[in-house]
Amino acid sequence: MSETEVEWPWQYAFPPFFTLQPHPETRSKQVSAWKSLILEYCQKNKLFIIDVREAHQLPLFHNSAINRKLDPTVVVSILSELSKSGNAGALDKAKHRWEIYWHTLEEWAAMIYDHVCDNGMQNSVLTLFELSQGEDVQDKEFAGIHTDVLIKALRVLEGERKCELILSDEEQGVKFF
Amino acid sequence: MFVEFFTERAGIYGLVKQKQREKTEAATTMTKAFTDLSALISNFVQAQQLVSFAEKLKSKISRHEMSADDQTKFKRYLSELGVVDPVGSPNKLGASQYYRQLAKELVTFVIRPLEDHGGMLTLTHIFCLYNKARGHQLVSPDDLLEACKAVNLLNSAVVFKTFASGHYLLAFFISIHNPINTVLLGTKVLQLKKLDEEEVLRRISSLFCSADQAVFDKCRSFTIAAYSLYSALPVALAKEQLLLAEQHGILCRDDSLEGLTFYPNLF
Repeated sequence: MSETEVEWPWQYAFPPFFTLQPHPETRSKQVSAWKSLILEYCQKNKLFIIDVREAHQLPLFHNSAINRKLDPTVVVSILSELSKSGNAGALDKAKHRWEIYWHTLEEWAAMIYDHVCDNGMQNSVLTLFELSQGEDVQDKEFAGIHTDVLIKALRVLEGERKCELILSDEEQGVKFF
Repeated sequence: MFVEFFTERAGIYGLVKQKQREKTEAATTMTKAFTDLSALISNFVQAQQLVSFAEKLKSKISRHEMSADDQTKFKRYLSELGVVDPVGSPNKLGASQYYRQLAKELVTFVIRPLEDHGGMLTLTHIFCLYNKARGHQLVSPDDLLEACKAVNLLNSAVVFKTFASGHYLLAFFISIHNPINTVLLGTKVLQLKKLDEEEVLRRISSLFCSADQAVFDKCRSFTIAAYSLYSALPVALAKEQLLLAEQHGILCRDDSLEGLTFYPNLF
């Protein structure tokens, strides 16, 4: 994946940003800065999955210019904070792999359904590939969405009885209502 | 010169023998010395027993009426033993009185060194300075600690404070909030004013960040060692001041492989 140039916030060059602050007020400001930076970075780079064990390979958590890394345990705690607002979800119990939702699943679901309605595709079946990589969606925010995230977003719609997922082995598709 | 020759002393065997002899001699001296010491200790224990015996007697005397003649006799015996007042060990009241007196002396003594050291001194530092000044009749660390605690009861210019960080570090502040001080210290008030805790925080924040601009490239960072050098404070005290400033949200930390560094809190 090619790195999109992210406009780093000033904190990124501030060494204390990479140490979890003990003072509660300072820490909450620091953590919220990290949260927005992580979401922005993932959105710019279309990064849907972060593996904490490999986090240091991302410039996000490793500023080589000032030689500072964010400790993996701190990464986990910030991602846990993100999960509280529905912006992240752990994929395993050990909390190594995380899905990052810079749009929450509900937001993704609404966007996809809007697209379907705009194009009059209710009552038709679309493959998941069409939804994420199709020509129609290239200019959409959800173009290139990770399949697992897409399925989770569609599950939300399914819960609202707006679609039905068809997950057979060969073809994964979805029928909208 | 003729030296008497013994086969015992000749050759390597002779040398070994000589070394052994020296060793045995040293060992004997040591044992002797320690026997003396243990004798002293046992004497001390005996003396304590004697004192407690005398105390018992005295309490008995106070309960039962005793003729003046007998009393003087008894006192004479005691003074012969070297026990002037059998109730020598300080009871609770006596001890606190003692600490109060000590605290008073300490306060008058400590103001000058406090001025020289920016208004704060660690207990260790005070211990050294104070005992050096006393010359003889040294004060034990325990007694000094108690006296320091008593300082706060005195309503004086000096405040004794324990820092919040688990470390057994204690310091003096000169407080200017106390109205009595203004009378006591007169013209010195202005100089002492900058020694207050809030002033320490203000000093740190202006040191780390140039006065009005809290901008990233205009700020400075200090390790504990660097700060202690810069402000001529003992390392432990420098650390406490930095931690204090962190607790007040003035500083934040950068804890990396290069060590702990403090930055102004720009968050």
